[in-house]
Amino acid sequence: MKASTERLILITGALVMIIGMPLVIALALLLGKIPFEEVLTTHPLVIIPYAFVKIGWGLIWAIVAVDWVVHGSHGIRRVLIEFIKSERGRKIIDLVLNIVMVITGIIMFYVLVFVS
Amino acid sequence: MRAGRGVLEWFRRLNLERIYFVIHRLTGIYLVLYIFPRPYLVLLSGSWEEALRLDMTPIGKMLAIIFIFSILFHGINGLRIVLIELGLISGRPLRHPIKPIPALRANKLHLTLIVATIVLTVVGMVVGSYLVLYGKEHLLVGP
Repeated sequence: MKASTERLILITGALVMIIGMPLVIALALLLGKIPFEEVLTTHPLVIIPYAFVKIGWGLIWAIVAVDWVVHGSHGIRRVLIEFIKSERGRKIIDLVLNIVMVITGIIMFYVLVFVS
Repeated sequence: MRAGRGVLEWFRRLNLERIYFVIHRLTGIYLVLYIFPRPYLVLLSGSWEEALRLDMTPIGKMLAIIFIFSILFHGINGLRIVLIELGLISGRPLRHPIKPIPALRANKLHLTLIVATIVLTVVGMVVGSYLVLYGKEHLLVGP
C-alpha cells in the first residue's frame, strides 16, 4: 500500500472517530435515550458500547467501531513495519493485518448489531 | 523515523513533541490490544453482559483506567496531529533581522492543544477512574 493511501485512511478514520464518537454520545443524551444522570454515575465501559446496544443504536455505533478497527489496524501496521527491513516481510505484515482487520471488523459489526 | 531501528529510535533526541509521539504510539498499541479481543470475547461468551463481568474484576478495572487514559490522550493528541497534517496549525518560520534562524514559531492554537492534551487527559482520567472504581456496574436504560 502506498504511504499516501495509508495516511489518507488513517486521517479519515481518525476524523470519523473524533467527530463521530462525541456526536453519537451527544445525540443519545440530547434525545433522552440515555439519561444524563446514568452517564455521570456509571462505569464508562457499561455505557460504551453496551448502552448503545441496549437502546437499539448498535448499528450506529458499529460505524464508529468498525472505523476504530480499520484505524487501529493501519496504526499497528505503521508501527510494525518500522521493525522490518525486508520488503517481503512488510508485504507479509500487510497481508496478515488486512486479514485480521477484515475478520475483526465483521465480528465487531455482528456483535454490535445482532448480539444483545 | 528510520526502518528496522527498533523501539530505541522512538526515544532518540527527546523533546516535547517526541515525548508526545512516544505516548501516542504506546497508547495506540494499548488501545488495539484492549479493543481488538473485545468482539471475540462477546462472541464467545454469547452476550455483552457476560463479557462485561471481566471488566468488573480488579484487573479489569485497572485495565479500564489505562484504557481511559489511552483513549483520552490518543484522541486529543490525534486531533492535534490531524490539524498539523491538514496544515491548519502548522508553524511559521522565525524571522530574525540578522541571523537566519532555522526554527519554527508554533501556532497559538497548536500551543493551546499541547496544553489541552495534558489538562483534558488528566481531568478526564480523574473522573473516569472514579467512575470505573465507584460507578454503577449495571445499566438502567433501554427496554
